[in-house]
Amino acid sequence: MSMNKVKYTLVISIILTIFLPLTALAQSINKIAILPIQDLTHGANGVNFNCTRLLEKNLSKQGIIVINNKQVMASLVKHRIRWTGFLDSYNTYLLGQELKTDYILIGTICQYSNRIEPRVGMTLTLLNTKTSSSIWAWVGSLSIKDFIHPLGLFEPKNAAELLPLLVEKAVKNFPKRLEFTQNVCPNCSIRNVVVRPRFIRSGQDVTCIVRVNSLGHKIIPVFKLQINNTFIKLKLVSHNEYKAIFMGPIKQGCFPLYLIYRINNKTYRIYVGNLTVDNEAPKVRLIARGIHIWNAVALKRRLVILPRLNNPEPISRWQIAVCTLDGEKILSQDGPGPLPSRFFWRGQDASGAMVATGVYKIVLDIWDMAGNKAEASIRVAVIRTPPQIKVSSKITNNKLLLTVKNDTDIPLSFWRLEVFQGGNLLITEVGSKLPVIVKLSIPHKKFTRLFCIVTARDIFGNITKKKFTKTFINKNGKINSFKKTINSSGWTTEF
Amino acid sequence: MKGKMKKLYYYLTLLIFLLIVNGCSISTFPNVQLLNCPSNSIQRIAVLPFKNDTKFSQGGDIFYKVFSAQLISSNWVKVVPEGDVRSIYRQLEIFPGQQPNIQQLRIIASRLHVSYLILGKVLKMEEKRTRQGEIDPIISVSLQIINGKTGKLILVTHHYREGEAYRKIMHFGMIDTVTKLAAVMSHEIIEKWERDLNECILKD
Repeated sequence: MSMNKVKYTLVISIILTIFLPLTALAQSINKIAILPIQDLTHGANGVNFNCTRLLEKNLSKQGIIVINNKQVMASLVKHRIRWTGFLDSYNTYLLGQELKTDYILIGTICQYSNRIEPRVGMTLTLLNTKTSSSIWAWVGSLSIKDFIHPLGLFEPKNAAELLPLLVEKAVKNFPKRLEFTQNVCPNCSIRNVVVRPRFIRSGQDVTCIVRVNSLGHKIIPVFKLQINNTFIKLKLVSHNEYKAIFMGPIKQGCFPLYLIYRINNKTYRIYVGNLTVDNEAPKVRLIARGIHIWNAVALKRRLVILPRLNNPEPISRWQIAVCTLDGEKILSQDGPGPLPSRFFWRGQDASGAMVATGVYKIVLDIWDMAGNKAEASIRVAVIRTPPQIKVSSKITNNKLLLTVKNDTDIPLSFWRLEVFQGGNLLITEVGSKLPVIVKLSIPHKKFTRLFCIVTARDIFGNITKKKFTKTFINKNGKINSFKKTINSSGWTTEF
Repeated sequence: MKGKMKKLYYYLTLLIFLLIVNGCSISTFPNVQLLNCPSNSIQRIAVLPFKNDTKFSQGGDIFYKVFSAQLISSNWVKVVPEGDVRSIYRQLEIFPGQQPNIQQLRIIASRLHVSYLILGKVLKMEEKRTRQGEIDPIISVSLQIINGKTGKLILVTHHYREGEAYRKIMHFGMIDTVTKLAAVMSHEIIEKWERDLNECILKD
């Protein structure tokens, strides 16, 4: 008999241990706070107060006490909650404490349109302020097509008429009683974790700041930062801020950082990012494609310079400068963040004027995230002098021999010689290499006037154009040159 | 003889009815590719803001809100409040439209005390106008579940749906709002995930 009693007691106690806590957590909703409903149709910061009022009205009809809208707004202002449609755990907890409610209803209007077919769509989420968790959610939408009546009576005509019907539908689905598991909000305690800098050189100082949300803990939480096997304790510097300044590791590498903290007799370990120790400057080089002259890359119309990192890594800032060989800086530009994929130089200085002929140096400085500096440079030749074309003539056996020469050592991309007589083209010669000798027969007339144009362009695009006229006199069958005029630019006047 | 004919007609009618019903029902499911099976069942999950790759205003946010609401109401997993996710996004300076990198994903998972994260992208969202003057919403999404500790992909899902696909007869059954279509699609995805992940965990 006694054994039976023991058995019964044991079974009843087991049942009670299992079911009592669960029943205790089942609650009926009798008081609720409704946050202004977010309206995505008016952008991410849109608010629909009409929908909020409709929800208030309909939930009140269900016998639920809805906290006054002004009181809710005052709390939002007090805690500087500038957004609707979502709420973080800490603010959920705070609003719950302040408004003395266990439930907060948040929602979003996803659609509200009168175009073609009026339609509205909405989501609602119920938050529990004690656990700071979402415990119920609902999605609903209505369109005019959902209310087609055979006689066309009582049909809503626009979105404004659809919205109350949608709210009614939502309230019908609203839970009367909720069951939820009691768990303390795990991510309420920490507001922010700051570790600066994240990239350091060996032994450089690192600051770690942890800001906590004051949840009224009786026991002061303990915060430690773990790097490898080293633990650094954070000191309380203000009522909600813990701080530690420590020397970073000497060894190079990437070290994961963990924050270990103990709150309410429970220890948490969270990953807060990596700390990178880097003592090596990045290896960078500049690539510029073009013709090499005077031990430099020649500038044509524009020069494309490609910076290349041997081992790609994040860059904190960069600076590029064009200098003369004496070191005078004529143009420079800098910027933060990633290195641009390419640079262009059009041969201009900082004022926009074209630079003179000569050799220049383009220098690129980059700094990695730890502040290690690297430099790369490239020599650029700028050639502004046009080809120096010389034309000489000689008469042999009544034939004119024209010799065209280039006095500079810069190769030509093309040249062209045209000879006219009285508006008629006598000869055209085209080529890419100079010197060249062109033979020409002179007509047997008393006076022969020839007009010549020589055009030449070097490989850098510099163009020269020479025009000259020459008159020949036929004296007893022997031709002599009379006068010549050579001009390098512009038309010649008659000699 | 007459009785046999009657039976034959009865069976034929039944067969035609079944064929019609089968033809009208939607046979395509979300395309889920399970890449790595999680070691144990997912208890708590964080849904990260979805990227909007469409011209539909706030398309990413609409699908994100609807999907999160459907996930909460499914009671499959506990969902981290949206506010907590957005708060960490602000702290890590991840701007709207940006996707976090692997290190940021690890930090988010650790700070939110979750092992798994849902990432998403809305590829298509539009309200097409049919010849009958009705609105036919179209949504295409790509979702991923990743392990927040390792950064490994658990599964990848692609889902495409048109409101017209749910039409049964006349206008009945047809979905004519983007919100409703998003809700139905989210439900289909969550159902498939739950089934596939449970099967995979049980197998292991």
